[in-house]
Amino acid sequence: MKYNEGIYGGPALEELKQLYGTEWHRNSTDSWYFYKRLGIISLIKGVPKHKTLSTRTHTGIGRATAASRGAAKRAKAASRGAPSHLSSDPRYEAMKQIMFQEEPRTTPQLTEEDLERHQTILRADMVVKMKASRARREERENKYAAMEAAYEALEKADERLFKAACVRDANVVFPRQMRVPTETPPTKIWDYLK
Amino acid sequence: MFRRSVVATLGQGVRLFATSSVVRNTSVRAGVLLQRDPIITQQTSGFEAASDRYFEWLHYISAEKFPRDFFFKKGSSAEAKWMELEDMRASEWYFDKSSKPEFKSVKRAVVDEDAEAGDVDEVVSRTIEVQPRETEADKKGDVKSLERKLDRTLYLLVKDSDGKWELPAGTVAEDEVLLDAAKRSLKETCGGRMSVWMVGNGPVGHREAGANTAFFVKGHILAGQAVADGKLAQDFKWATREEVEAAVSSDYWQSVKGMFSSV
Repeated sequence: MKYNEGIYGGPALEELKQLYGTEWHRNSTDSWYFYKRLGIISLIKGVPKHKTLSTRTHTGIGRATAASRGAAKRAKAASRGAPSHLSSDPRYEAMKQIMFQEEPRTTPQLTEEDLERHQTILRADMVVKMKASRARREERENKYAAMEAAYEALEKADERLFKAACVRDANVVFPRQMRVPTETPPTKIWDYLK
Repeated sequence: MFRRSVVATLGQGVRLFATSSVVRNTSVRAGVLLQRDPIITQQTSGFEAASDRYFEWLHYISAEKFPRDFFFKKGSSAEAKWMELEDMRASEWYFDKSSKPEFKSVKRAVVDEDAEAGDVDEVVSRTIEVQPRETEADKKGDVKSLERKLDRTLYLLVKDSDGKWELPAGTVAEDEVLLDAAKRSLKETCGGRMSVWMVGNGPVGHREAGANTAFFVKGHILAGQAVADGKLAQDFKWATREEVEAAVSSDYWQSVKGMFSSV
């Protein structure tokens, strides 16, 4: 059940609350879930939780006694419009600062020479990358061509071996010992199986 | 497989006298292109390395202000390390020297003297020992070692009775397939103390030499070492692409070079 939309076109929770107060859900097991969800909603709206519940509900009674102990503090927080149980944690302040920081990011200022230098470096980098990419493609194409030529030669040389070579195995997997290259080698570089 | 070959095979239909070496009088040999894959990554050098540094610096100076109070606890060793790095980086500048900002240290005045002393010990105990990229085998130039040239692919070459360096190859038995023949001939030539993963069922390249045609199946050595017992192979070595080109005959190289990786 959503707060603002009802199920199957029925009235929404908000409407129900407005119409009948909190009495309509008192007997149901939904009441605990409603209290939890209301907590989230009141957080979003910035209203303290205990203010939205009447003290006559099951859950409301328990909360009321706890609230009465720190009532003065919470009332002060409520008057500011901020949820009281959140202000004690300093991380929330830090998070707000990061999200809504006043200092915008500054872009670097380049002179004419700087710009020319930058464009030259960028162009050279593109050329190097293009050459490397073409070399890799050429290598790949050469490997494929060699394999294709080998299959054609095998077909002419031996029919039986060719047919066996064309068999594709199902579920081919790489062995676990084929490690990914790292920047520096391991302490024991190669296992000689002695 | 390859469309042309498959279509041709289907088009021929069933052949009643399908025995080996019918169409062309060559005997098939099965060989192995055995490679040890690179163990370490390639390191950029020269222009590439310099341009990488430049672009990294450009990102650094254009970045958002680093929220140090969010990431570091005041007076922690992590903060001390970061402050050290930041002050070191401040000297880096690739634009016009006149536009370089004045050096302003990010370090905070140390309040607690004892805490600073403690931090130094902590830093020392955390250093990680990193293995060198150049090994003993590199320095000695030991071509039989599998720990040489860690950033390159090494290929197994064997020296036959004539003194020619070639990829290991052997004959194919009557009831054998190419893959099994390749594995068996590798074992016979170089010994069985190698853990090898063979790729697929078919060849990656071939070499036509008169009456023989050798078809090479690719394999990756995962562990172990080759042994040249002198019967089928006088000697062996693990060579990079350039070293293979230098060792084998020029027409042999022209036939097989397509199979080799450049790295």
